[in-house]
Amino acid sequence: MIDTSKPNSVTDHAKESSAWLSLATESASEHPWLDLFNHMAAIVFRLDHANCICAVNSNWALYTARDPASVIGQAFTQFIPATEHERLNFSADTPYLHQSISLMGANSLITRFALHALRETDGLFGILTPLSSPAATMAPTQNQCLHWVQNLSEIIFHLGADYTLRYINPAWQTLTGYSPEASLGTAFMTIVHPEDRRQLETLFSAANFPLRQEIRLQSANSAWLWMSMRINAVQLDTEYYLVGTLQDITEHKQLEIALRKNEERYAILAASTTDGIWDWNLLTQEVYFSPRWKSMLGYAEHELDNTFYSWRDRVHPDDLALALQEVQKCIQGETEIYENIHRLKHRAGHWVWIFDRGTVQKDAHDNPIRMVGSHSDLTLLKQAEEAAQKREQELQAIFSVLPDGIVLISAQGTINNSNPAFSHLTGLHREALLDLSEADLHQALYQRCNPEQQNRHKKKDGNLQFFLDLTHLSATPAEQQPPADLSNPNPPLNYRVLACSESALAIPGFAKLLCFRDITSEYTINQLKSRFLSTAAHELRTPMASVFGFSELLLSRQFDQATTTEILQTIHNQSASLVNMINQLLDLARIEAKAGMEFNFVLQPIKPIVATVVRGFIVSGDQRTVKFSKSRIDAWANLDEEKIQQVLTNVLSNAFKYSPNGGDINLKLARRQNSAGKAEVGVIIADQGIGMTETQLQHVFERFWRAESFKNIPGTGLGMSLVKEIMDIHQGSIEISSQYGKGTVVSLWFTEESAPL
Amino acid sequence: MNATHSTPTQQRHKILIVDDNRTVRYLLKLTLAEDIFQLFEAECAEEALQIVNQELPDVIILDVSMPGALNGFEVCKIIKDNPVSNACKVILLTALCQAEDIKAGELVGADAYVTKPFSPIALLQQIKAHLKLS
Repeated sequence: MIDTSKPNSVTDHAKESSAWLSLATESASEHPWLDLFNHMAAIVFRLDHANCICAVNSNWALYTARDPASVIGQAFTQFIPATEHERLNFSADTPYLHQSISLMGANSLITRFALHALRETDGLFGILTPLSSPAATMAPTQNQCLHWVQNLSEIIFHLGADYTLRYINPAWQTLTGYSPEASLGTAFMTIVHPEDRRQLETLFSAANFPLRQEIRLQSANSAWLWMSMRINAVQLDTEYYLVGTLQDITEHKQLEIALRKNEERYAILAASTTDGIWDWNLLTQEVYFSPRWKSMLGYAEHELDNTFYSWRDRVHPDDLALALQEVQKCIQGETEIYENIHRLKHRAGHWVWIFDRGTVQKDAHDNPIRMVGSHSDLTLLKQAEEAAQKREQELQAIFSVLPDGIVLISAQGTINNSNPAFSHLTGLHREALLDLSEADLHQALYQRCNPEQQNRHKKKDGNLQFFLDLTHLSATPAEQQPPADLSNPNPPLNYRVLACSESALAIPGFAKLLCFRDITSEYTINQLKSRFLSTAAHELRTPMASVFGFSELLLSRQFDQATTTEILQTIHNQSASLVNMINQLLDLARIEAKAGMEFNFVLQPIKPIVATVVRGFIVSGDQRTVKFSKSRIDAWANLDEEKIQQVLTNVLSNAFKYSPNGGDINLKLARRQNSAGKAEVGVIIADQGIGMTETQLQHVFERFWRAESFKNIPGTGLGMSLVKEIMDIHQGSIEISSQYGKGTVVSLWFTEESAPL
Repeated sequence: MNATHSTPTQQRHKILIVDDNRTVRYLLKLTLAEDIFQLFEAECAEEALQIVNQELPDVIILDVSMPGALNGFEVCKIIKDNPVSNACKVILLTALCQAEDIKAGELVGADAYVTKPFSPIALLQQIKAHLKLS
């Protein structure tokens, strides 16, 4: 409306001054026809000798929109466009002018006239006849205005005094969707938002025009449109009009509302109790830290400065470099969002894990000016993560050191993992096993099994047993060797027995766990026990056969006295052998079962024990006695007297038994330092009997073992086993050297202890 | 190789006693001390096979666990595999009494399997039955 108001005012002004204007400098007497001129459609004017206007009729105003009074004394040429000055010949020698000319009015209003002028003595008298009528001159301007108005994207409207719509341009329909027919004559206020309507009515009644207001209008499809309204009151004749424009600012307004919402959100965020907010002015290095930001680190709001260094100086030294690097990347625009996890020092001294995020804001020249972000406290999360990591490490460690072989089978039925023990037990390495199926694994194990044992894989309980043939396995570390034979250190076993059991796993992604336990020891011991039992039974059956058989013969037949006596003697000897065997078996069993617990160790000198045994040692039918060399050795040791007596008795008995052709039985004490530098005391018993071969010597501690060459000498094959067992529990050692046909030397060594003071 | 000669006659049945235990051999000799038997004894497998080849005994009482390279099962198999000697009746007399031992005895073709301790009188009757003596 502002743009169009001026031409209107000019028009108003022209209409107001429609009467002829009397010119002060010209008297009616000088120009009696001036009144007439005033009623002509033409501009009548007079110039003085300097070509300045000295009189003009009121039509001047009509065509130029200038007050005729204001132009008196002004040079005429200044109202003529410069381009026409040359054509205009105002020289004194031109008595008559007849040409076309343009006259410039206010607001660049140019009108073409035909000029008729007469040179007078002291000036020039002229008539400007418009080449078109004044109305025709104005018409293009009005049309232009109308054209502009018609094509404006803004709404232009006139309201009557009762606020009814008197005029609307086409933009009205474009923007509001209402047709002119439906709108003209209706009250404008009906489509104004109720909240805005009251305000608008107040402003209108205050008549403080022109005014500008943002209002909401309801469109034809019921949507609310934000409009920027400018309105002015214009008086035409006696009536007042409200003339205004409406500009659609809905989009802008929505953006503004969204922005405000963001700000509200920001405010809510800043006040939230979970995250801390920071807002860093990159130009001043000033940082706003929200109260939560500070309280996360144990500070009250006033206790931390709002500077960048309040943050930087609290970052863990190990985390700082990376955090700064990430911040820098974001400021430089390499990353859109800054993200970093770092530790900040709490006021109490501990570290708080922070998840830090932020973005950079830039000015119109793309320079970073501000960085805004948030702090999330990850301490609990981080602690849980650390605990989980620690737990996983622990489990991994357990998995690695478990003596049992473990294989994990995934939900897809393939091998997911195996522990070092499994590789160690089977020689199958983890890398080679991964992604194999369980059946593949069994196949690989069968290939390593002793073929003779193939049929023994499946056990009664459904679990598998594998008898691995160790001759195919490269590494068989010493610590994995099965325990020694009950009576004799056997050569290393060439097999390993693994029991496989499986457990279902309640872990996603895993189906089950296979556990391979090395049961070689149990298996071997079981085998030994069963062999021992059958051997014991067998050995008992032989003397029993004699007792049983001879007594039956005695009962069923008559024998002469000599035979009868011989038979009875045999029965007696065999019975004695049985009793002896049973006693020794019981001794062995007891020692083994209690693993030495029943031993009664006493620190005592060894010589008196030896002397006691030697003194009472007589073998019936043998004239010999033990030759105990006099010794100065007064060595002490931790000994169970009764057991040592048993050891000495067994060894001495053997010395007598296996030297049937006589020879001295010598016993002496000795001292030595063993390989570890420890002092030892020994009891050395030597005979000159039948001796043993190298091979026989290897079996001497085997239970029930008896050399072929001893067959006619009664014995149980248990005596030396018992000796070995007792010596072991004393942590002593037994050494035997023997020469076949020459004799045997048995040395019993004990750790020597210093005598009590 | 000790043969006990009571009555020198061809009608007597030759019986070989094989056992490394002297007492057991004595018990068997005492049990079989009858005129109808001619007794041989051996204390190891090699000695036993030598007597079998020389004498072709009617009955062999054979221990299983013996010192030496061969055990009683192996001796029995050699005797039974040899057409010259396979008519000999072999009675295994042993302290081995597990089912697998008895099975092994069957496999090598033993005619009887007697476990220790045993009844000498019953063994005598068994021998007489093998020899079809009343």
